[in-house]
Amino acid sequence: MALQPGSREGSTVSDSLEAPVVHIETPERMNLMGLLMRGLLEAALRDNRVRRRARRLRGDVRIVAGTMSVTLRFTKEQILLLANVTTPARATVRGEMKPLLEVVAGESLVRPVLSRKVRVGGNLLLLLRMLPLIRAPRAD
Amino acid sequence: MKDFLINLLGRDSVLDSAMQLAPYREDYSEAEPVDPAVVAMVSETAQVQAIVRQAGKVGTAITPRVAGTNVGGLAIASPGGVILDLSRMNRIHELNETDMYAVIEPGVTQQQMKDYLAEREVPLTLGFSLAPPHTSVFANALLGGLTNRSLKYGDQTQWISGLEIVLSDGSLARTGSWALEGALPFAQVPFPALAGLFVGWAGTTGIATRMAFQLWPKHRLNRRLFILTYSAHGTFESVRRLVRREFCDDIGGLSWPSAKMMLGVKHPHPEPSPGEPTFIVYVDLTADIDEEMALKERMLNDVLKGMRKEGEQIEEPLDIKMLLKVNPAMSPFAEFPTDLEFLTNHGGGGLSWVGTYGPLSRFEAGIEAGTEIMVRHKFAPMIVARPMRGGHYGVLRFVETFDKEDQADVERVKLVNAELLHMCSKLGFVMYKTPSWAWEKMKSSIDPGMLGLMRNVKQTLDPHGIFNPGKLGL
Repeated sequence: MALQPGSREGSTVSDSLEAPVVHIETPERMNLMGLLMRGLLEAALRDNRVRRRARRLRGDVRIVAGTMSVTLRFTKEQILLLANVTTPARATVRGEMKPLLEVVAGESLVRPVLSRKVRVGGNLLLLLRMLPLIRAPRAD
Repeated sequence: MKDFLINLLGRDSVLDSAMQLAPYREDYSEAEPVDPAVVAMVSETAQVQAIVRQAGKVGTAITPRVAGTNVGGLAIASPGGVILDLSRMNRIHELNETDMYAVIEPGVTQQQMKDYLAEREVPLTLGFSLAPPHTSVFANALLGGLTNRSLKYGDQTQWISGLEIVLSDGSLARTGSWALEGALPFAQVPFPALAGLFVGWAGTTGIATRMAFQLWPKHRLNRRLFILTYSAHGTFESVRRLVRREFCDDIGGLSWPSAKMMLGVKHPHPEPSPGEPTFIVYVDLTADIDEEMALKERMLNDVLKGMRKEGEQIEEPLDIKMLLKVNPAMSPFAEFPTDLEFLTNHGGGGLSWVGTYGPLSRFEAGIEAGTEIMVRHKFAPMIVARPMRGGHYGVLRFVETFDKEDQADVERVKLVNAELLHMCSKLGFVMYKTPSWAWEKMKSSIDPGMLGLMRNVKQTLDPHGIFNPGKLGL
């Protein structure tokens, strides 16, 4: 498939050399949650502090929203988004779309976790480090 | 004809060079491009009358056009014909806030009308079609299009309360209550509903130059909510139940490829990803006080809860404002009118559809069959479905994007559309804004009495055969 300049198909890089690339191997097969995450990550990575944090993250984090699953694979150079990976991840976040997206949109993670509307598992420290990457930037 | 037009309109308002004519050759669809002989940029009704008289004398075909965004070739000229560009006829002649109507010309766009009402702080709204802001309110109504107020009030033809028409001899006629001197254009009735001779006829019986149409109350509060659903039955049974509760302003179902395209995937794979929602249902709620809105939200959740109890997987409603925070790419569905660039700016430039009206009871069957056809032709099944007029019928629309420069792609669109039309017709859905290719295919299944009547009407109203010939396949 030919890509247009500036196309959102394939990889997209934020405007700094330090920023990891957010990449989806086959966007045409990625689920809606993964596509939403791509936009979110790209926006978050415009912030220098988030970029630095992202470059230090390693391994797989899985987000399961309803019946959609997307895995964020962190390496130094890129954040690879994969749909429906079944190998174990270092950390997981699960929940229905609404409570998950509310957290992403900026609401506290504590309440939905305590009420078990959002369930977290695995390496919680990794999740906490990742959280700023999947939070929508404030419209200042 | 060209010299006549130059004398009438002035040189600057008559386009005839190849470069000037190029934008008029085609529309978004796969319809065969045709070069008009000339384009007449009219700005007054009297000019339209003069052109119609002259065209009748010399036998020149006239095709009316405004934005050129039709997806059925209806505004493409006949060979050697004149395009009557009505975009300069864009005056809003009257706004009657108390009786809730406006009188407009064909060139008035959706955005223009919205701005006009907003600037005057008039608490009225018109419905907006899922078409770009620069498209014509008038054309959508004349062609029987729908809007985001069609759930309550039906397709836009039902909002037309008066029409002014240039007839084949160049004379003017008014239909509706304003045909009586001193009466306001409040409704088509109680006179015979003669607007029907011009509405849904794709400009083949006369040229409409003025329209009175009804506006609707605009409420202080509004919310747009998106609900992810995971089966066609769950989607449309929810829709049918919501409709019967009569508290929604608009309900629409978009199949999963539409959301993917909005999120930047130009060509989604024809099969969904595992676990993905089948449809995204959007619901518009409006209210004047907070308690009213809260009650409507409770009623919405009540319906969805009932569906979940029956085993349907349906997510909680997501507010568009929250979705926009998560990903601004969702903005095309935040406010209407919207340019839907993801449908038109995909590299290939082509956009086509089979858009039908039909009974809500058969939506699932149509969606199942339509999905099979589209996937077999390697199109992601982009489907838009909305209930209309209180649920008495609805729109079921199959949409394809394609590369206009690739002949194989164009042929693939023709094939898939023909198959979709056949399937829809068998299920009892009727194509609207009907292209001539579809008339040809449907003709053998249409009641011969009605076709004969249509031919007689056409012959009577267009004895010289000048009004947008060939578009109805009569």
